[in-house]
Amino acid sequence: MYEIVVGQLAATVRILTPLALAALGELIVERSGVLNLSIEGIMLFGAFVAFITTFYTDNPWIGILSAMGVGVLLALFFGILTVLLALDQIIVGLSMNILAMGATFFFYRAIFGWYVSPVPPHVETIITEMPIPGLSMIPVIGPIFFNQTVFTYLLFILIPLTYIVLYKTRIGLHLRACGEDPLVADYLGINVYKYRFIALAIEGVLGGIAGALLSISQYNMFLDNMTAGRGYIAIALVILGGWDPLKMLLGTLLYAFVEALQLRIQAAGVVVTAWFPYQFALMLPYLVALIALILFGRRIRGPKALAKPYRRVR
Amino acid sequence: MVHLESSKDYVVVMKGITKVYPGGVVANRNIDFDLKRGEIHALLGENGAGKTTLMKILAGCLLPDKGEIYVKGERVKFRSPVDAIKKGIGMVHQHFTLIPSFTVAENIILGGIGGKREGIKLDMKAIEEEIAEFAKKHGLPINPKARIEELPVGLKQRVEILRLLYRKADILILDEPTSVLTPLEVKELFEALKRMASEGKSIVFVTHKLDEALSISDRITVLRKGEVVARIDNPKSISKEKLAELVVGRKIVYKAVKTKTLYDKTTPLMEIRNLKVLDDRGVLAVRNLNLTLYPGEILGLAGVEGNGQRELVEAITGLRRVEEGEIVILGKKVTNKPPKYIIELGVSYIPEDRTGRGVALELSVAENLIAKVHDKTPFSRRGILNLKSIYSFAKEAIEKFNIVTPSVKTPTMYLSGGNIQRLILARELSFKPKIIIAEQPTAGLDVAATEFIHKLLIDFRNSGCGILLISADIDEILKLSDRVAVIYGGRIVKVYDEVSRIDLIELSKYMLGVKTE
Amino acid sequence: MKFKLKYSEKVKVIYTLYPVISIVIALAILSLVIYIIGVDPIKALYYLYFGMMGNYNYVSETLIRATPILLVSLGLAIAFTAKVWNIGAEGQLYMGGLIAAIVALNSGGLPSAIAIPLIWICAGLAGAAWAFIPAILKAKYEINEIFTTIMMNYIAIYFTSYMLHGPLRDPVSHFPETPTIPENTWLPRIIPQYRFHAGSLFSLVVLVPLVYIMLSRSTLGFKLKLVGSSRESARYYGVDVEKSIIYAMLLSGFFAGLAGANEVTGVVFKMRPEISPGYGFTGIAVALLGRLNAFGVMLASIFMGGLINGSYTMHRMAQVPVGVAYFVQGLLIILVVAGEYILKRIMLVKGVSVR
Repeated sequence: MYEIVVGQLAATVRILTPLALAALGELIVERSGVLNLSIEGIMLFGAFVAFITTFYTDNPWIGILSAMGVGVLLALFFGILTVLLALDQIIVGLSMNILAMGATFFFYRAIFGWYVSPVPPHVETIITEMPIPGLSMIPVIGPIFFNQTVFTYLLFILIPLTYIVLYKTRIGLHLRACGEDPLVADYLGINVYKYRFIALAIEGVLGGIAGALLSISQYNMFLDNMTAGRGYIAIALVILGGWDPLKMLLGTLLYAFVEALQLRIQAAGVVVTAWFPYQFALMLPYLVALIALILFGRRIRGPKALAKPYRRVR
Repeated sequence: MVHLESSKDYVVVMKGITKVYPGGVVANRNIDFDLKRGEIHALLGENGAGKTTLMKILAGCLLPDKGEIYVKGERVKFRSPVDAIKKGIGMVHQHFTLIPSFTVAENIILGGIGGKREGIKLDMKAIEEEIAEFAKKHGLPINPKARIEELPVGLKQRVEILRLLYRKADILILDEPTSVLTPLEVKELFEALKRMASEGKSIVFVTHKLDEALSISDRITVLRKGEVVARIDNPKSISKEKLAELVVGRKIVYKAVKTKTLYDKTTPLMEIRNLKVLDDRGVLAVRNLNLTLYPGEILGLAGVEGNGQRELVEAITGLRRVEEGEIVILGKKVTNKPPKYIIELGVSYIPEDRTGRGVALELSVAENLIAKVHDKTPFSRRGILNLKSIYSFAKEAIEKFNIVTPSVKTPTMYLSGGNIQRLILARELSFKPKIIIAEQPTAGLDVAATEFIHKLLIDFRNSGCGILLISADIDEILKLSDRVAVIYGGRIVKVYDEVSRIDLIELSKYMLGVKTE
Repeated sequence: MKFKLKYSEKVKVIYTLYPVISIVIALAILSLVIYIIGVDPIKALYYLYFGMMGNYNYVSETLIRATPILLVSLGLAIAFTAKVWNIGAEGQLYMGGLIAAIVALNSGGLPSAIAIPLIWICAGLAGAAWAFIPAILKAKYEINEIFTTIMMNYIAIYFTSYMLHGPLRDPVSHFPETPTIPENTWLPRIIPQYRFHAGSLFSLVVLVPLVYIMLSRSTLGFKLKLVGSSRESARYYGVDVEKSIIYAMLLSGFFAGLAGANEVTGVVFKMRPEISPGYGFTGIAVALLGRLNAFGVMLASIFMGGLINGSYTMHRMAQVPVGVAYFVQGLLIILVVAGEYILKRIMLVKGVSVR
């Protein structure tokens, strides 16, 4: 029983990490007044690029770095279209996701050939757990929190850090001002473009890492559309968390728990699947996200300027 | 007037300022303007004369196409409001530049200019203390922890002024600061301005009201159609009539004639009983409001902005849910009925937010003109639009209401503000309304357009229409209304049946909630 | 006062032709990529063209391929007009396909003239029903439809997968799929020896003009346009915004459901887990590419259908990896979205009327 519970919770934290990283990036961006749907595409591209580079270099850290790089590039591209040119954020976001799906689908086959072998290509070395000496030996808490990849530790530093920056510093105040009323912020001497681009770059880094963790840590391969809507779920988690990093983490925790449970059900094999088909298990996380939106997603007050194009006129 | 720019007495000298907007409108043509240290200088002109444009140029919000600006003897080129504030120039805009969900203190320190504390860390407690003290010192006390959205409009203005002072501005520009205030508050503001001037601050007071310019200023510059038409160094030497002529460029004759009392109290058009309505934040904005509108009257609703006017109007027009109480229009209960039902009873609504609510900007002029009746014959039959009759109606309306547009198919976003208002009027007044709700119908319009609208409203009143006029402009209310109701805190606190007997100070006290019946 | 309008005809012409320009640019980028992969781009593009419309059979196949995309994107054009972002067409298509197969398998010898319309209507209703949940959530509780429709996609796909593995599975098939539907429920072919079927013809000849009229001439279309332009104004104009949002969503769901029925009754003759290679997403690109205009959407979906088929020919004959179509589609949508808005902005500044 102990094994099962701890295993389930450790899996929860492992699954939580990429999702929360992406959601945190999206939260920062949304606080600056930009709704970036393309986080889905950023993650997918991140997963893809990390996989390709790791496949050829055998070094997952290069994979992570290149995923970060491509994440930043995509986020900045999104920024050029929506922040600089003030195009509709929803339309651009959706479009970039369609591009990400199409491009990764195509280039995966361009690189590995059109012959779909029964065993898809996979990487040998992946990002693995880095137990923290001492702490990881604590019963229960140790295996759950301190036997994870370095990015989990990074996440648990970033969440409170983001909270402090948002609410206890001038940078956070200014960032929130950009999200409430960019016109006023600009008028008062806050460079809205700068804040939004920096926020996007941060999201690019975090989204890239999040994608990379899917392909070169949780799995050791790339699958078509392997993010499977996780970017959208990350945004939903930001909304459900009321744009607050701590509440968002809580929501992500619940979601990740369900996803871990889902994997467990699948792994349990015939015994369970006889009365609980694995498709329902696969469905479960989406169902939970949907129900959460229905129960808690009603008319939450977000940043006032969210998703509204802003142009400076002088 | 040679070498003013190097004179020590002149803190601002603007020379040959010209500004042309992208649409080709010349807002400022070769304007010279100067400001002395410690003076209150009125910039007078009607709406659209170019006052705000000129001052936005001085405050760094707009770039001039031509001209030179000298501040305290130094040639400057402002690329942003921040450049201007660094030279001590700050402006209080007509639309406040405050973030409603932030506190007073947060709004004041936003942008990180001025004040004692610097660095990344935000010690709100210390900052709030500092600001409370700072506000008290300047005779403009305020609670730094209050959220802006909870403050009355007069205090919001105070925050704007405080922020300028906090940013160490010594040249203050106030754009129509009295438009949101009651006469009593205007008096207080004037005292504060005079005190600041005596302390060495230089103030530009932008207004279209002659009395205000005459009563507060040391000097007056008059703008008309983007040009300076007069500079008056001694306001006491000029008569109001003469000044009025300068402002408008011709003698003002108000032609709209109100016939004697028309309304008949036996058959009310609209009755509102014990109305309770929530605002966007879920707080009661209209509490137990009672009001009756009769046919053939203009009922002026006087009140300080944010006392439930908006929520009341939205409740009447079906745009906002009523919590309690009832609204009866023409004998029919309309409480929480959909907007369409109320429109079809003959209730027209001229909204304050013209571009956000009054028209759909992406749609064409014709489409906006028939939007409320698109599903009625002759504009459509069996669910299919009849474009021919839509366009012919639109053409007629454009002619009748003088809407300047290249064609009926032009998207409304290409129209100027004045023409959008004409479009709204054309739509709201073309289908025989029985009740007209007019919300700030003339805000921002020039004298000619204002007169045009006033005449229309009076004509409709004369023909038996009931008009509820909501206006921040007390003069407009007094000029048009048959009766005046005062709204404060979501209640009607006073109804004046005879407009000629209204005492302004008493009216202000009702508006501010100092006095209740 | 005179209205100054600087009319720049040049910009307007560029705007009108811009989708074609985007296609040229996208194909140029594709050629470059193909060249880098080590394939002769001229040869590749020739086979792309050939597979699109090299002979009558390829034209027929292109139209068949275009039909589900057309159906989905007609629906999305309706939804997007009201700025209702239905990203759930994929799921709605699956539900339509599933119901189409169930109805067809139980149609018990009904004459085709009754069975087929019945199947299509049921499938459309199934798609609409699947869209109803996000619709009501959006209209009543302002829950963003983008996220709910995405979730509903995955739920639909897994639900379908369960049904095809379980209750509906053809016991004699090696694959998780339904039995073949009876022949009386097959869409009749129009031209002998070609697969071009009545569903395609009906979509092109009846549904496209119908949606065109609905969007540009009907009071419903007018309401949707109002809601899309400004919800606030629409409410003020007396339009029931909630109802309009629900209608927009239901109609787009209905069309996506029809796309499912089209595949089941016209192409595959059974329901399979891979009934749609992402038509629901392609539809988004096509709806935007066609500028939410029914005829524009028709041209765009035929192009996209040709592109998908052509990419298979290109793969077979020139060894270009599969997936080209989705890559080009991604490029196109970015080019169109970015370029069109920039052109529109230029026209706005210069005062050219877009409509």
